[in-house]
Formats: sequence, C-alpha cells, structure tokens
Amino acid sequence: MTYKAQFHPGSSDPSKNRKKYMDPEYKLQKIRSVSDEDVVRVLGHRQPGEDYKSVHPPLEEMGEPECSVRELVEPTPGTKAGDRIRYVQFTDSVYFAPISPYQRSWMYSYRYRGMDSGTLSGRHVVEARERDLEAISKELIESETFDAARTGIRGRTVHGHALRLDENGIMFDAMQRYVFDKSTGEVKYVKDMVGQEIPAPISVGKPLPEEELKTRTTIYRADGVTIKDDPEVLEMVQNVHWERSFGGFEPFKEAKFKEGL
Amino acid sequence: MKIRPEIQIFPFKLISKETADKITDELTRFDFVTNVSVHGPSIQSSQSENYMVGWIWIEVEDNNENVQKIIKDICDEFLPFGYNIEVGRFTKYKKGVSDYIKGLN
Amino acid sequence: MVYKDEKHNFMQAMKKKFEEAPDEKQTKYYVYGGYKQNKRKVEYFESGQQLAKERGIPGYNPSVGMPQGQRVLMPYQLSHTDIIANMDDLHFVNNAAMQQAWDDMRRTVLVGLDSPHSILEKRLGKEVTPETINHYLEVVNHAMPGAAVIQEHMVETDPRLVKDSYVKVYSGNDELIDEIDSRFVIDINKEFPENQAEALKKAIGKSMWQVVRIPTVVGRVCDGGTVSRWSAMQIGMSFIGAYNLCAGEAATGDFAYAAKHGSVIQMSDMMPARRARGPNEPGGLMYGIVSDCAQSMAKYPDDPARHSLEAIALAALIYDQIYLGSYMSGGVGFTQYATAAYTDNILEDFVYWGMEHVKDKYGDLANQKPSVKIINDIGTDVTMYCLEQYELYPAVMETHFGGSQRATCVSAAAGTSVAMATGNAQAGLSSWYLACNLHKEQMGRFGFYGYDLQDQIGAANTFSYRSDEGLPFELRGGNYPSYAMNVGHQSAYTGIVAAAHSARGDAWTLSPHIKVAFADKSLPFDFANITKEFGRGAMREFVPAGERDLIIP
Repeated sequence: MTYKAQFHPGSSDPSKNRKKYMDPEYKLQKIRSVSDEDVVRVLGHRQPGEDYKSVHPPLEEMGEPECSVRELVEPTPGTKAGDRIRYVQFTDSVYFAPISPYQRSWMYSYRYRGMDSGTLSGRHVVEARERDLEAISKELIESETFDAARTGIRGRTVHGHALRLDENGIMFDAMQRYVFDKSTGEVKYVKDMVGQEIPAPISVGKPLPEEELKTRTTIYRADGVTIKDDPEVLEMVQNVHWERSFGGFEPFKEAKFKEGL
Repeated sequence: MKIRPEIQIFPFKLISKETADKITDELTRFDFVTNVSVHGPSIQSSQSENYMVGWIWIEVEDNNENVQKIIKDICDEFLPFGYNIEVGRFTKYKKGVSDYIKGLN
Repeated sequence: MVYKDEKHNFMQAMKKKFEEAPDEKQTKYYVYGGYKQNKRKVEYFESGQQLAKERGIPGYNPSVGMPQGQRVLMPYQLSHTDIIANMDDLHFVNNAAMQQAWDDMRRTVLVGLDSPHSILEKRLGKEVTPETINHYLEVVNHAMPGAAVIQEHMVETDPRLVKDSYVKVYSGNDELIDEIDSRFVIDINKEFPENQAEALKKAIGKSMWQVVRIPTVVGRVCDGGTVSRWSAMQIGMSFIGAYNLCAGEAATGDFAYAAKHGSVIQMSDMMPARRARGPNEPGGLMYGIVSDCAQSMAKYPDDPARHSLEAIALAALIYDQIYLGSYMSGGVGFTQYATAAYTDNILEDFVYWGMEHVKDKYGDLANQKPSVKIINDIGTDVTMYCLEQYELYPAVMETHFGGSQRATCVSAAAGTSVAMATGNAQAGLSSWYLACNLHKEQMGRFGFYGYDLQDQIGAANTFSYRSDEGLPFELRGGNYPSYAMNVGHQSAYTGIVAAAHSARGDAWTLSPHIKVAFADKSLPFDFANITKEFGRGAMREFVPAGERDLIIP
C-alpha cells in the first residue's frame, strides 16, 4: 500500500502534535513516573492491592456461544476477567493545555481498545474495564499529554477549563484535588478524582513553562497559532463542511449552488 | 440619588485571597472609594473563607483621571502579570424579584 | 491587549454611567465565599427554615446543595438595556414578564371573518356592513372573556379576572378599516413604517381577520390546544347574538367550522402523539413565527441586527427556558445556559461586528447570492473574530465558561452574518454548521455530546426541503428532527431566520398575519422591547395579566 495515513492536515505545531498523538505508531513521550498504586489511589475506584470487582465470571468459564465476531475480536484483559467498567476523566485548560477533548477522543480511538470515550467542552471521560482503564490512565498521566498545572484528573465538579490560571499558573479546581508546593515547584494530588482525601500526596511533577506548552499543545489560539495560519487545516474543515452538505439529503446541486441559487 | 460608577480590576491570573486583601486594604484608605467587592470562584471547603479572586469591583464617588491613576498604581504594584481596568456599572442598583421575595434589600 | 477597545459592545455597555437612581438601598458585598458571607443568602436560608416549619416538609436549604459562591451570584446585564438583574430573576418562575411573553403568544389565535360573512350573506341572506361588524365586535368582546350572549342562566367569569381577553381586527383594506371602531382595530398604517405597512396590506389583501386573545388564566389552566376551542365557541355565540340567528340551525355549525378549521391561524402546530401537545404549544412553533412576534423591525427599521437579537431573546425564553428546559426536561438548569444569548452584550458584539463586516466587504446587506464562496468567506471571518474574543479576553471566556454557551454565540453570529449578506436563511444555517466545525477544530473542544451531535449531522439536511429530509429554515421549529433535544440552538436559529429577512428589509419573516397580530399595544408584553421587558420582569416593574388575588382570601 502506498498510502500513508496523514492523521491530520497542516504543518503548524498544534497540527504536528495532533498527528503525533493520533498516530498509534508514535510512542507517547513519558515525562514523569507515577507508581501503579498511586494511579489506583488517584482514580479511587479500588484500594491498591484490592481485588478487582467483577460483573461476570471470566469469559473462559462463561461457555460462550459459537460466534464469528467473538472469534475475530480478541477480548482485552479486563474483559477476559469480567471487570467492572470504570472511568477516568480529564479537564484540559483552554490556556495551552497539552491536549484538548476532541484530540483525546481521536487519540484514544487510535490507541486503545475496548473503551468508550465522551467528549465535552471542559472535560473528557473514557470508560473501560477496570484493569484496562488503569493501564490507559497510567500511560496518559505519565505522558506528555498531561501537564501538572493545566490538566486535571476530575471525576466531578470539573469547572475550571475556561477560567484564568491562578497566580502560580495552576488551573482552578473548586475541590482543590491538587496543591502547588511552592518549595519544590511540584503539583501534588491530595484527593482522588471525586474529592476523597488520599493518605499521602502524590506528585505529578513540575508544570511545564508556557513557552514549551505552546509548542506541545494541540490547541489553536489567537495568542498562539490559529487555524487561519495553517491553510491546509482551514481548507480541510471547509471541505468537510461542504462534503457533509452536498452529500446530504436531496440538496441543491453543487454546481448550481456555486453559481448562486 | 446618584448611582456611583464602578471600576473593575480584571487581573490576568486568578489571584489569592492574600493579594486581594493587600489591594483592598490599599483601596479602602481613600475617601473616594465607597464600596469594594471581591468576586471569584468559590472553593468547596470546610473553611468558611476559602476562595480565589477573579475580579474586584470598586465603587467610587466619581470617576476621574486622578482616581484612575491611583487605582492603576496599586494594580501595577500587586498585579505584575497584567490586568484590565474598566469603568462602568457592574452590580445591581435596585432590587429584583428574588430580593423582594426574600424580603431583602 | 485591547480589552478597553471601545468598539466592543460588551465593554461599551458596561461603561454606561447612570444619572438617576431609584430610592433603593444599594446592593452590598457579595464578598467572600459561600452564602454565609452574604446577607441575602443568609436571610433566604432563614426564610427557608421558617417555611419548613410552617408546612412540615423541609424546603430551601443550601447546605444540602452545591455551595453557592459568588460566581453564581453574579448579576447579568440584559443586552441592549441598562438593566442589571440576578440570574434567579431570569428564570421564568421568578419573572412575570417572561411568563406573560409566552402567555400572550399561547393565548392568541387568528380567525378569518370573510368566511362567516359569506355564510351570513349568501346562505342566510343577512346584510353585513361596517355597522353590523362593529356591533358584532362589541358582542364578541363581551363574550370572549367568558360571558353569556344568548342563553339565560349561564355561568360567567368575573370580568376583572379576564380583563386581558379581547378581540381586535385588521385588514389590508384601508377603506373598510376606516369604518371600524378604532378601539377594535390593529391599524397597520399606524404600527408599521410606510413601506412595511404597504407590503403587509398587500399580503393580507382585502380580507378581514380577528386577533383573538383568550384570557391568560385559561391558557394556563388548560393548554394551547384549548385556545382555538374557547375562541370558536365564543365567536359562534357572538354571531348568533349579533346577527339574530337561530341557535342550532345548521348554518351556525359553519361558524364553528370556520373558527376551528376552515379559517384559522394557530400560533403553532400540534405535535406527534408521542409528544402529546396540542396546537399553540411551544414544540410546534416555527422559527419564522417567533421572529414575527418580535416587533423590533417595526420600531427600529434601520437596525436589522437588533431585530435578530430580540428574536433570539424571545426564542431563548420559549424554546430553551420554557420548552426544552421545563416541558421536556424539567428543573432550573437551562436558564443559566440560555441567558448567554441575551445578556452581557457578548452576542450583541458578535452580531453587530458580523453585520458591519458584511457591509464593509460587500456594501449593502442582502445583495449577495448564496454560494460556497460567500458562506466560506463570511462564515470563517466572523467565526474567527468571535473565537478571538474568547481567546484574547479572559473576561469573555469566563462569562461564557461553558463550551455550549460559546458555541451558540459564535455560530449564531456566523449564521446571522451570512443570512444578512444573502438574505437567505438556508445560507445562514449552512454558515452555522461551518462555524461549528471551525470552532471545534480551533479549540479542540466544542459543546457537550448532544450539542455536538446535532451540529455534526445538521449540514446534511441544510439544503433539503422534502418531507423527512429537511425544511426551509423559516418553517423548522422545536420538534424538527435532532433539534428537539438540545438547549442553545433554537434561540440562535430563530435569530438567523430573523436576520435573513430583517436584512432584506422585509416587513415580516414567515407570516404577515402574525406580524400584525403582535403589533398590538393592548398586549401586556411589549414585543418590540423584549430584553427590556425581561429586565422589567426581573425588577418587579412588569404588570402581568392572569390576576387571581380577587378570588383568594
């Protein structure tokens, strides 16, 4: 096959970052380490070391019917084990967060199996079998798509993506799940996703400087790069719009429309 | 009765209670300031005064260049990351339906 | 940063200084944290406690809800007014003007007089003259509020409870209207600028129509479906009384038929059975009709943007706050969201900027044929301008802190601008969807799941009109497929429809009849100043109809 997936049009920094994140061949850069136990603590779905709760017996014991689809699709580890479906949700600031909700959906779709993602303006939720979810969460939290200051791990009361950053450059969180440690310059989680306190603070490291975030972000902004600065992106969006319009129900014919109705 | 103008300070960062206190302390030293209110997103907390400040509304007797300069000087001192100043009327100046229902004034 | 740039309406509006003040105590601090720091909320809490004791059931108690901080208490300025209101007071429960706006629409039905007149003349051999019409109008104005005409021993309503009910007439026939008692007339010549009046009269023709307002209280206790029935019964009785007919002869049935089916214009269509709503309920209301209820073009004919914004405000109330917010979903949440379209002058700034941009680029409004190029050019320019305001001014971003609020305002401005450039609502709708795609791509975020769904699939039926595939935009409404679920779209859709016609200088959007019916000074709600009326409602200055103090202890 000669065709090589482009993933996203354009040549600007946000465009390049979108391409990287969506390309499953690209390995997300790991910029911090958070232990498996700490990921479990921040998620708050179970205690570290606690058994996974299950909603059905392991698939092998289920005696499933013969089914070509079942044969075709390899179950994920969590599915095989019969785990509950749990979630992780991120809030991404409009102020040059490394990634934003739509890019999360697109990236997850290329990278993860057996997940269901939901895209909103201020937050992005993904649901999966619990052990699969923990693996996804660990990769995301440790990766370059997560900034200590402008990304939040929030199950509820997510308000803050559109608010100004505080004096320390941290995104507002009404539940104060994380605190900025002035002495070390690090951000530490002191509560889990839904605001329950956790035994010991979990560091997610230092926030990246604004200039670096501007080169890492997937967000186009008027005080950064806009889609108008990246003609291929603008053209693609307009094309998508017109393909949808002229490919729709009994529309006026494109040629006629171009001449004016 | 005259409705006094208000001056809004809109910092480019959400400021801490401490920074806001410093600014309001400075402001309330001046006689032309008749009311200062501090607004911002609240934080869910057991502590009763836990908040961040998004903007400050200063009600003044009259708005003039002198007043603006004093306020600007205070802002320059405490808001190094930038701010906007606007003049207008931002708060209610008469009571509405729900105020009446609540028997408030 | 050019935050102080005077050209922004949202800043200009905030710069107004007030010279006069009512003798009210000034609003004091909303300072520091939750409700305990706020005197108002403390008293609110205390009255909640008191109420709980009186009725024996717990009630208002903020300590069980989300702590209410200052953000929630922020006042809102009604766009293009000086009125600053609490958000609470923009919920229709707290706002008598908002209730009356919808009451006045729901309780209206238009009934033709030509058909009954021809029954009287041709079938019954009666003479119909201006004198007999005047007499009939006197009778029907006695009967419509709920009074007896031809029967003895009849129940009647207390006239003070139904004083808002009346019947007026209008016609394109100036000579006939001249001979009708002016108390019963909506005079097109007086209510509209000359060119609009001529167009309206031509469209309405020589026919004479009645504008029927049944009592507000009847519309409320029953529903919109009752309006034409109440009206038809009283009209039938009035014909019998005024023209000395036999009650019960076959011909009288034709009056009822005309008033219920043959010669009637309802405000809105009945909805499918699964939605279970009669006519004159908001679900079946077309955008073009809401635009025609707004009277801004009659009073401010040189300001098409104002008309569009007024139509948006009215539609936000009816579709978002009342219909989707309460009929379909229940609760109070939708108000917070819907007010974004008519407060703080943000959408105001966007729409006027778009209109000026069109004028700068193409000279006059409504002089461009719809085309891919026009929609791409204007739609993209306006979208990028609006997004920039959010991105460069944190105050704007924080005011519209939800993606759906931003999405509505950006797409609305892109839609109204193209609608104004082309005078074509369909082109405006296409620009709405283009703006949605651009917005999503630029910010990497948009609205919420459902909001986005509607905007991803909508382009496919923009240019369609066949049944089940699409409709001209003016004829779409609350129950159009995929519009029936998401707050924040239909207000702006109404504005786009309104913009296409106001830019052309049209006297009406969809129905000349509805346009005339709402140019009526006897209505409690002033449809020429919609945001102002909402504000007066919030300030407890608005006097609604639907009195019931007379019949309670």
